[in-house]
Amino acid sequence: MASGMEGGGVGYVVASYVITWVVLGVMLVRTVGSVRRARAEYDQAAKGEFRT
Amino acid sequence: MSPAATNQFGPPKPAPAWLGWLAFLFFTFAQVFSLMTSPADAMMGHLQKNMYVHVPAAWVTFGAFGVVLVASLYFLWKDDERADLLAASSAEVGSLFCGLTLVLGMLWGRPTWGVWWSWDARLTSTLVLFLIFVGYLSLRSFVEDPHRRGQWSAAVGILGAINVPIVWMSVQWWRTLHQIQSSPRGLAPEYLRGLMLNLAAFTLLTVWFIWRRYEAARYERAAEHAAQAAALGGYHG
Repeated sequence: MASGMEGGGVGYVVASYVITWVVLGVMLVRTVGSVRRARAEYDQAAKGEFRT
Repeated sequence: MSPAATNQFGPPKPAPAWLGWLAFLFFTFAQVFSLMTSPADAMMGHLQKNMYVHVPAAWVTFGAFGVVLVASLYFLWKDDERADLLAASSAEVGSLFCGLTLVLGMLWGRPTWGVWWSWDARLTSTLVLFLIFVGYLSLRSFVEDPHRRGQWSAAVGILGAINVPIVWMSVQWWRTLHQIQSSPRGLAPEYLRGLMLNLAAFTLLTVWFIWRRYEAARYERAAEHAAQAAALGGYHG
């Protein structure tokens, strides 16, 4: 492969890592958020159940 | 009422907090280690470092869809809704990694092959795999009955997971643009260490993501069960 690609290759590598980290970061935030919301819903529903 | 709809279960066992911390710290370490210690390849230069994200993302995609296969078969066999929720959680995580694999592959393909995309056997079969699981997730969103949703999505999940060996073998069966599977024997130790570390780190992250998504799904269903029980209690009271 052309050695001249090395310089251009860095940009693609940086993009690969940035995209990976952003995707995983967004996934982390969404996952933790969904667990918290679901748990809060469950706690509320369970309280309602016990009141009846 | 259908059998699975009568499955009653309480809240899930939460994923231990240390597992999440361990997964993200290990991932950070693996990424930094491989970036810092891996020398530029004689042919590909620094582009070789794409391997530490592209290959692990593909690896965990296959693993996640393997979980979908096993959980879907178990759901169809035992009619246990928890297996359906596990399959769905795994499909969500697997789809995300499958999409990431495709994008990272394009970022490697453009400077290497000169094109962002080619209708190569590996790329096309991976795209088909991705679309099947996007369809799987869409199907789940518009079927309300839990039992029917479980059965339909299990069928699609099993069909989708059957595509995994086709993706894996595609580079052997059809010799097109994508190179054949990487083997640890063909890698120099300075590249192999980073790859193995990242494979382990991505696997740990995936386990944690699936566990937490499953936890959320279990809470959602447990909340529905509790709400139903409250409504029935109120009605009979």
